[in-house]
Amino acid sequence: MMNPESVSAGHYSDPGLLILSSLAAGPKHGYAMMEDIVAFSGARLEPGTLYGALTRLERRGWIEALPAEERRRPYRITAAGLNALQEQLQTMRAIVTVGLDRLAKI
Amino acid sequence: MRWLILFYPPAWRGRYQEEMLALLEQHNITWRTWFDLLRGALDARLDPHFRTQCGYQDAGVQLRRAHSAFFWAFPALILGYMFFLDGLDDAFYTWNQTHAAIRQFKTGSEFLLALGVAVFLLMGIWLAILFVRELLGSKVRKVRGGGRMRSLRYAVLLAPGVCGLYSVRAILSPLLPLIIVAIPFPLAVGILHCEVSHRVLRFALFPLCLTFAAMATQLLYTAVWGGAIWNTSAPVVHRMALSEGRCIWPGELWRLQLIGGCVWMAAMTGYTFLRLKQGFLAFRPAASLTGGSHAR
Repeated sequence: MMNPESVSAGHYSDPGLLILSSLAAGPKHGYAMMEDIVAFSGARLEPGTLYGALTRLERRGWIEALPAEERRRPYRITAAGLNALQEQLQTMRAIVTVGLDRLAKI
Repeated sequence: MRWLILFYPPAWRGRYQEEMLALLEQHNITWRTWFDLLRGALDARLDPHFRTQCGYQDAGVQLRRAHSAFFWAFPALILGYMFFLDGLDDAFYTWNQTHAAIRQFKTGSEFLLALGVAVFLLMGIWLAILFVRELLGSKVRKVRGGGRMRSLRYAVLLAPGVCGLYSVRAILSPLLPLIIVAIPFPLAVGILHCEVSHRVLRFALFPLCLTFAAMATQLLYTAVWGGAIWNTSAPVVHRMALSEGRCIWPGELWRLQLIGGCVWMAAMTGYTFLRLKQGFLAFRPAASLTGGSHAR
Protein backbone atom coordinates (compact mmCIF):
# COMPACT_ATOMS: atom_id res chain seq x y z
CA MET A 1 0.00 0.00 0.00
CA MET A 2 1.40 3.43 -0.95
CA ASN A 3 1.51 6.15 1.61
CA PRO A 4 -0.72 9.20 0.91
CA GLU A 5 2.27 11.43 0.05
CA SER A 6 3.48 9.18 -2.72
CA VAL A 7 0.09 8.92 -4.43
CA SER A 8 0.48 12.40 -5.89
CA ALA A 9 3.57 11.32 -7.83
CA GLY A 10 1.95 8.26 -9.40
CA HIS A 11 1.28 9.52 -12.92
CA TYR A 12 3.90 8.95 -15.60
CA SER A 13 3.98 12.61 -16.58
CA ASP A 14 4.37 13.80 -13.03
CA PRO A 15 7.57 15.89 -12.78
CA GLY A 16 8.37 14.40 -9.37
CA LEU A 17 8.44 10.85 -10.72
CA LEU A 18 10.46 11.90 -13.76
CA ILE A 19 13.01 13.67 -11.58
CA LEU A 20 13.33 10.73 -9.19
CA SER A 21 13.79 8.37 -12.15
CA SER A 22 16.45 10.64 -13.58
CA LEU A 23 18.33 10.93 -10.29
CA ALA A 24 18.18 7.16 -9.79
CA ALA A 25 20.98 7.02 -12.39
CA GLY A 26 23.18 9.38 -10.34
CA PRO A 27 23.40 13.02 -9.15
CA LYS A 28 22.57 15.71 -11.71
CA HIS A 29 22.08 19.44 -11.85
CA GLY A 30 18.94 21.06 -13.28
CA TYR A 31 19.87 21.23 -16.95
CA ALA A 32 21.30 17.68 -16.99
CA MET A 33 18.04 16.43 -15.45
CA MET A 34 15.99 18.17 -18.14
CA GLU A 35 18.08 16.62 -20.90
CA ASP A 36 17.98 13.17 -19.31
CA ILE A 37 14.20 13.31 -18.86
CA VAL A 38 13.70 14.25 -22.51
CA ALA A 39 15.95 11.34 -23.51
CA PHE A 40 14.16 8.62 -21.54
CA SER A 41 10.55 9.86 -21.48
CA GLY A 42 10.15 12.42 -24.27
CA ALA A 43 8.71 14.90 -21.75
CA ARG A 44 10.38 18.31 -21.81
CA LEU A 45 10.14 19.95 -18.41
CA GLU A 46 10.39 23.72 -18.35
CA PRO A 47 12.55 25.37 -15.65
CA GLY A 48 9.60 26.62 -13.57
CA THR A 49 8.03 23.17 -13.43
CA LEU A 50 11.38 21.50 -12.75
CA TYR A 51 12.22 23.75 -9.81
CA GLY A 52 8.68 23.59 -8.42
CA ALA A 53 9.02 19.80 -8.27
CA LEU A 54 12.61 19.95 -6.96
CA THR A 55 11.45 22.18 -4.11
CA ARG A 56 8.72 19.74 -3.09
CA LEU A 57 10.94 16.66 -3.40
CA GLU A 58 13.68 18.30 -1.37
CA ARG A 59 11.24 19.29 1.35
CA ARG A 60 9.93 15.71 1.54
CA GLY A 61 13.48 14.46 1.93
CA TRP A 62 13.35 12.41 -1.29
CA ILE A 63 16.24 14.29 -2.86
CA GLU A 64 19.06 16.39 -1.42
CA ALA A 65 21.24 19.17 -2.74
CA LEU A 66 24.98 18.63 -3.06
CA PRO A 67 27.54 21.45 -2.77
CA ALA A 68 27.24 23.92 -5.67
CA GLU A 69 29.63 23.58 -8.63
CA GLU A 70 30.17 27.20 -9.66
CA ARG A 71 26.57 28.39 -10.02
CA ARG A 72 25.00 25.00 -10.70
CA ARG A 73 23.87 22.78 -7.84
CA PRO A 74 23.60 19.02 -8.35
CA TYR A 75 20.94 16.95 -6.58
CA ARG A 76 20.92 13.31 -5.60
CA ILE A 77 18.18 10.92 -4.61
CA THR A 78 18.03 9.84 -0.95
CA ALA A 79 17.21 6.41 0.48
CA ALA A 80 13.67 7.63 1.22
CA GLY A 81 13.44 8.86 -2.37
CA LEU A 82 14.51 5.46 -3.71
CA ASN A 83 11.82 3.76 -1.60
CA ALA A 84 9.18 6.21 -2.82
CA LEU A 85 10.26 5.70 -6.44
CA GLN A 86 10.17 1.93 -6.07
CA GLU A 87 6.65 2.05 -4.57
CA GLN A 88 5.38 4.24 -7.36
CA LEU A 89 6.94 2.16 -10.13
CA GLN A 90 5.54 -1.07 -8.64
CA THR A 91 2.09 0.48 -8.54
CA MET A 92 2.48 1.62 -12.12
CA ARG A 93 3.67 -1.83 -13.15
CA ALA A 94 0.55 -3.40 -11.56
CA ILE A 95 -1.65 -0.89 -13.39
CA VAL A 96 0.13 -1.54 -16.67
CA THR A 97 -0.21 -5.34 -16.24
CA VAL A 98 -3.93 -5.12 -15.49
CA GLY A 99 -4.51 -2.64 -18.30
CA LEU A 100 -2.67 -4.74 -20.88
CA ASP A 101 -4.50 -7.91 -19.76
CA ARG A 102 -7.84 -6.21 -20.15
CA LEU A 103 -6.87 -4.78 -23.51
CA ALA A 104 -5.86 -8.26 -24.70
CA LYS A 105 -9.34 -9.61 -23.84
CA ILE A 106 -11.14 -7.03 -25.96
CA MET B 1 15.01 36.75 -18.40
CA ARG B 2 16.48 37.66 -15.01
CA TRP B 3 13.59 40.00 -14.28
CA LEU B 4 11.09 37.12 -14.46
CA ILE B 5 12.81 35.52 -11.48
CA LEU B 6 11.88 38.63 -9.49
CA PHE B 7 8.29 37.36 -9.44
CA TYR B 8 9.38 34.53 -7.16
CA PRO B 9 9.21 35.21 -3.40
CA PRO B 10 12.45 36.48 -1.80
CA ALA B 11 12.86 33.32 0.27
CA TRP B 12 12.73 31.20 -2.89
CA ARG B 13 15.21 33.45 -4.69
CA GLY B 14 17.61 33.31 -1.76
CA ARG B 15 17.84 29.56 -2.20
CA TYR B 16 17.32 28.81 -5.93
CA GLN B 17 17.95 31.99 -7.93
CA GLU B 18 21.57 31.43 -8.91
CA GLU B 19 21.11 27.84 -10.09
CA MET B 20 17.91 28.76 -11.91
CA LEU B 21 19.71 31.58 -13.75
CA ALA B 22 22.56 29.21 -14.63
CA LEU B 23 19.99 26.78 -16.03
CA LEU B 24 18.20 29.49 -18.02
CA GLU B 25 21.50 30.49 -19.64
CA GLN B 26 21.70 27.01 -21.14
CA HIS B 27 18.00 26.60 -21.87
CA ASN B 28 16.30 27.44 -25.16
CA ILE B 29 13.85 30.15 -24.08
CA THR B 30 10.39 30.05 -25.68
CA TRP B 31 7.00 31.52 -24.81
CA ARG B 32 6.36 28.28 -22.87
CA THR B 33 9.34 29.07 -20.66
CA TRP B 34 7.94 32.51 -19.88
CA PHE B 35 4.53 31.10 -19.05
CA ASP B 36 6.07 28.29 -17.03
CA LEU B 37 8.21 30.67 -14.97
CA LEU B 38 5.23 32.89 -14.21
CA ARG B 39 3.19 29.85 -13.19
CA GLY B 40 6.11 28.61 -11.06
CA ALA B 41 6.38 32.04 -9.40
CA LEU B 42 2.66 32.01 -8.58
CA ASP B 43 2.99 28.49 -7.21
CA ALA B 44 5.90 29.54 -4.99
CA ARG B 45 4.01 32.65 -3.86
CA LEU B 46 1.10 30.48 -2.75
CA ASP B 47 3.40 28.04 -0.96
CA PRO B 48 3.13 28.76 2.80
CA HIS B 49 6.76 27.74 3.24
CA PHE B 50 7.99 30.66 1.11
CA ARG B 51 5.51 33.11 2.57
CA THR B 52 7.29 33.08 5.92
CA GLN B 53 9.49 36.06 6.63
CA CYS B 54 12.83 34.32 6.49
CA GLY B 55 12.51 30.96 4.75
CA TYR B 56 15.95 29.99 3.54
CA GLN B 57 17.51 33.39 3.91
CA ASP B 58 19.99 34.53 6.43
CA ALA B 59 19.62 37.64 8.48
CA GLY B 60 22.23 39.44 6.38
CA VAL B 61 19.99 39.34 3.30
CA GLN B 62 17.13 40.99 5.21
CA LEU B 63 19.41 43.60 6.70
CA ARG B 64 20.90 44.41 3.30
CA ARG B 65 17.40 44.70 1.84
CA ALA B 66 16.53 47.28 4.48
CA HIS B 67 19.61 49.26 3.44
CA SER B 68 18.93 48.84 -0.25
CA ALA B 69 15.44 50.30 0.29
CA PHE B 70 17.07 53.53 1.42
CA PHE B 71 19.41 53.38 -1.51
CA TRP B 72 16.59 54.58 -3.73
CA ALA B 73 13.49 55.25 -1.58
CA PHE B 74 14.95 58.14 0.39
CA PRO B 75 16.38 59.97 -2.64
CA ALA B 76 13.17 59.21 -4.55
CA LEU B 77 11.13 60.77 -1.75
CA ILE B 78 13.27 63.93 -1.74
CA LEU B 79 13.23 64.23 -5.54
CA GLY B 80 9.46 63.53 -5.61
CA TYR B 81 8.96 66.23 -2.99
CA MET B 82 10.98 68.65 -5.09
CA PHE B 83 8.99 67.77 -8.22
CA PHE B 84 5.51 67.92 -6.72
CA LEU B 85 5.57 70.03 -3.61
CA ASP B 86 8.55 72.35 -3.57
CA GLY B 87 6.81 75.35 -5.15
CA LEU B 88 3.52 74.67 -3.39
CA ASP B 89 5.22 74.32 -0.03
CA ASP B 90 6.98 77.64 -0.52
CA ALA B 91 3.77 79.33 -1.67
CA PHE B 92 2.21 78.47 1.67
CA TYR B 93 5.31 79.15 3.70
CA THR B 94 4.06 82.47 5.12
CA TRP B 95 0.61 81.01 5.69
CA ASN B 96 2.08 78.00 7.49
CA GLN B 97 4.19 80.24 9.72
CA THR B 98 1.04 81.94 11.04
CA HIS B 99 -0.37 78.63 12.28
CA ALA B 100 1.44 77.47 15.41
CA ALA B 101 0.57 73.76 15.18
CA ILE B 102 1.71 73.44 11.56
CA ARG B 103 4.84 75.48 12.25
CA GLN B 104 5.77 73.18 15.16
CA PHE B 105 5.10 70.13 13.05
CA LYS B 106 7.35 71.50 10.32
CA THR B 107 10.11 72.29 12.82
CA GLY B 108 9.91 68.80 14.30
CA SER B 109 10.06 67.22 10.86
CA GLU B 110 13.06 69.29 9.83
CA PHE B 111 14.84 68.52 13.10
CA LEU B 112 14.35 64.78 12.57
CA LEU B 113 15.57 65.04 8.99
CA ALA B 114 18.66 66.97 10.07
CA LEU B 115 19.31 64.45 12.84
CA GLY B 116 18.88 61.52 10.44
CA VAL B 117 21.24 63.05 7.91
CA ALA B 118 23.81 63.87 10.62
CA VAL B 119 23.70 60.31 11.95
CA PHE B 120 24.00 59.04 8.37
CA LEU B 121 27.17 61.07 7.98
CA LEU B 122 28.63 59.98 11.30
CA MET B 123 27.77 56.39 10.53
CA GLY B 124 29.47 56.65 7.15
CA ILE B 125 32.61 58.13 8.69
CA TRP B 126 32.61 55.48 11.43
CA LEU B 127 32.27 52.74 8.81
CA ALA B 128 35.12 54.25 6.82
CA ILE B 129 37.37 54.23 9.89
CA LEU B 130 36.34 50.66 10.68
CA PHE B 131 37.17 49.45 7.19
CA VAL B 132 40.48 51.26 7.00
CA ARG B 133 41.46 49.71 10.35
CA GLU B 134 40.47 46.26 9.12
CA LEU B 135 42.41 46.76 5.89
CA LEU B 136 45.49 47.93 7.77
CA GLY B 137 45.11 44.92 10.06
CA SER B 138 45.37 42.71 6.94
CA LYS B 139 41.82 41.46 7.33
CA VAL B 140 41.19 42.09 3.65
CA ARG B 141 37.55 42.05 2.68
CA LYS B 142 36.28 41.72 -0.85
CA VAL B 143 33.92 44.09 -2.56
CA ARG B 144 30.84 41.93 -3.19
CA GLY B 145 30.91 40.68 -6.75
CA GLY B 146 33.75 43.00 -7.65
CA GLY B 147 36.94 41.13 -6.87
CA ARG B 148 39.80 42.77 -5.00
CA MET B 149 39.07 46.40 -5.85
CA ARG B 150 40.81 48.08 -2.98
CA SER B 151 40.84 51.58 -4.40
CA LEU B 152 37.09 51.46 -5.13
CA ARG B 153 36.47 50.18 -1.63
CA TYR B 154 38.43 53.03 -0.13
CA ALA B 155 36.68 55.57 -2.32
CA VAL B 156 33.21 54.25 -1.56
CA LEU B 157 33.73 54.10 2.16
CA LEU B 158 35.42 57.45 2.49
CA ALA B 159 32.82 59.17 0.35
CA PRO B 160 30.34 59.87 3.19
CA GLY B 161 32.94 62.05 4.84
CA VAL B 162 33.57 63.97 1.62
CA CYS B 163 29.81 64.34 1.14
CA GLY B 164 29.56 65.64 4.68
CA LEU B 165 32.13 68.35 4.00
CA TYR B 166 30.30 69.41 0.86
CA SER B 167 26.95 69.46 2.64
CA VAL B 168 28.39 71.77 5.30
CA ARG B 169 29.70 74.06 2.56
CA ALA B 170 26.37 73.94 0.75
CA ILE B 171 24.12 74.64 3.72
CA LEU B 172 22.86 77.85 2.17
CA SER B 173 23.14 76.67 -1.38
CA PRO B 174 20.12 75.88 -3.58
CA LEU B 175 21.84 72.54 -4.20
CA LEU B 176 21.22 71.46 -0.59
CA PRO B 177 18.32 69.09 -1.43
CA LEU B 178 20.53 67.34 -3.99
CA ILE B 179 23.31 67.05 -1.44
CA ILE B 180 20.84 65.53 1.02
CA VAL B 181 19.76 63.10 -1.67
CA ALA B 182 23.38 62.12 -2.29
CA ILE B 183 24.27 61.51 1.35
CA PRO B 184 22.82 57.99 1.79
CA PHE B 185 24.33 56.75 -1.47
CA PRO B 186 27.92 56.14 -0.34
CA LEU B 187 26.78 54.44 2.84
CA ALA B 188 24.27 52.32 0.95
CA VAL B 189 26.86 51.39 -1.67
CA GLY B 190 29.33 50.51 1.08
CA ILE B 191 26.76 48.34 2.86
CA LEU B 192 25.49 46.63 -0.28
CA HIS B 193 28.75 46.00 -2.08
CA CYS B 194 31.24 45.29 0.67
CA GLU B 195 31.50 42.28 2.93
CA VAL B 196 30.52 43.71 6.30
CA SER B 197 29.65 41.88 9.49
CA HIS B 198 26.09 41.53 10.79
CA ARG B 199 27.08 43.70 13.73
CA VAL B 200 27.83 46.59 11.39
CA LEU B 201 24.68 45.96 9.37
CA ARG B 202 22.55 46.01 12.51
CA PHE B 203 24.21 49.14 13.80
CA ALA B 204 23.63 50.81 10.46
CA LEU B 205 19.87 50.31 10.85
CA PHE B 206 19.68 53.11 13.42
CA PRO B 207 20.39 56.01 11.06
CA LEU B 208 17.87 54.41 8.75
CA CYS B 209 15.29 54.49 11.56
CA LEU B 210 15.92 58.16 12.13
CA THR B 211 15.67 58.94 8.45
CA PHE B 212 12.50 56.86 8.21
CA ALA B 213 11.04 58.87 11.11
CA ALA B 214 11.89 62.04 9.17
CA MET B 215 10.21 60.67 6.05
CA ALA B 216 7.07 59.72 7.99
CA THR B 217 6.93 63.08 9.78
CA GLN B 218 7.41 64.97 6.52
CA LEU B 219 4.54 62.96 5.03
CA LEU B 220 2.30 63.71 8.01
CA TYR B 221 3.21 67.38 7.88
CA THR B 222 2.36 67.56 4.18
CA ALA B 223 -0.94 65.74 4.79
CA VAL B 224 -1.81 68.13 7.63
CA TRP B 225 -1.17 71.39 5.77
CA GLY B 226 -2.51 69.88 2.57
CA GLY B 227 -5.79 69.14 4.35
CA ALA B 228 -5.82 72.64 5.85
CA ILE B 229 -5.46 74.39 2.47
CA TRP B 230 -7.60 71.99 0.42
CA ASN B 231 -10.63 74.31 0.30
CA THR B 232 -8.60 77.32 -0.81
CA SER B 233 -9.66 78.53 -4.26
CA ALA B 234 -7.26 78.34 -7.19
CA PRO B 235 -6.91 82.15 -7.69
CA VAL B 236 -5.94 82.59 -4.03
CA VAL B 237 -3.37 79.80 -4.21
CA HIS B 238 -1.86 81.24 -7.40
CA ARG B 239 -1.75 84.73 -5.87
CA MET B 240 0.08 83.34 -2.82
CA ALA B 241 2.55 81.49 -5.06
CA LEU B 242 3.11 84.66 -7.08
CA SER B 243 3.76 86.73 -3.97
CA GLU B 244 6.41 84.19 -2.88
CA GLY B 245 7.90 84.17 -6.38
CA ARG B 246 7.16 80.47 -6.87
CA CYS B 247 5.69 78.63 -9.84
CA ILE B 248 2.94 76.05 -9.31
CA TRP B 249 0.83 73.96 -11.70
CA PRO B 250 -1.87 75.98 -13.53
CA GLY B 251 -5.52 76.24 -12.53
CA GLU B 252 -6.93 73.55 -10.29
CA LEU B 253 -3.97 71.31 -11.09
CA TRP B 254 -2.33 72.47 -7.85
CA ARG B 255 -4.62 69.94 -6.11
CA LEU B 256 -3.19 67.19 -8.33
CA GLN B 257 0.26 68.48 -7.42
CA LEU B 258 -0.59 68.14 -3.73
CA ILE B 259 -2.18 64.69 -4.06
CA GLY B 260 0.64 63.43 -6.27
CA GLY B 261 3.22 64.55 -3.72
CA CYS B 262 1.36 62.91 -0.84
CA VAL B 263 0.83 59.62 -2.70
CA TRP B 264 4.46 59.51 -3.82
CA MET B 265 5.77 60.20 -0.32
CA ALA B 266 3.36 57.67 1.18
CA ALA B 267 4.53 55.01 -1.27
CA MET B 268 8.22 55.62 -0.52
CA THR B 269 7.65 55.80 3.24
CA GLY B 270 5.47 52.68 3.24
CA TYR B 271 7.99 50.69 1.22
CA THR B 272 10.80 51.80 3.51
CA PHE B 273 8.76 50.82 6.56
CA LEU B 274 8.20 47.30 5.22
CA ARG B 275 11.89 46.83 4.50
CA LEU B 276 12.91 48.20 7.88
CA LYS B 277 10.46 45.86 9.56
CA GLN B 278 11.99 42.91 7.73
CA GLY B 279 15.45 44.13 8.73
CA PHE B 280 14.46 44.17 12.39
CA LEU B 281 12.65 40.84 12.16
CA ALA B 282 15.95 39.35 10.96
CA PHE B 283 17.13 39.63 14.57
CA ARG B 284 14.69 36.96 15.66
CA PRO B 285 16.56 33.87 16.92
CA ALA B 286 14.75 31.55 14.46
CA ALA B 287 15.81 33.71 11.53
CA SER B 288 19.44 34.04 12.47
CA LEU B 289 20.06 30.31 12.30
CA THR B 290 18.86 29.68 8.78
CA GLY B 291 21.93 31.02 6.91
CA GLY B 292 21.35 29.42 3.51
CA SER B 293 20.69 25.92 4.84
CA HIS B 294 18.31 23.65 2.98
CA ALA B 295 14.84 22.86 4.13
CA ARG B 296 13.94 19.37 5.05
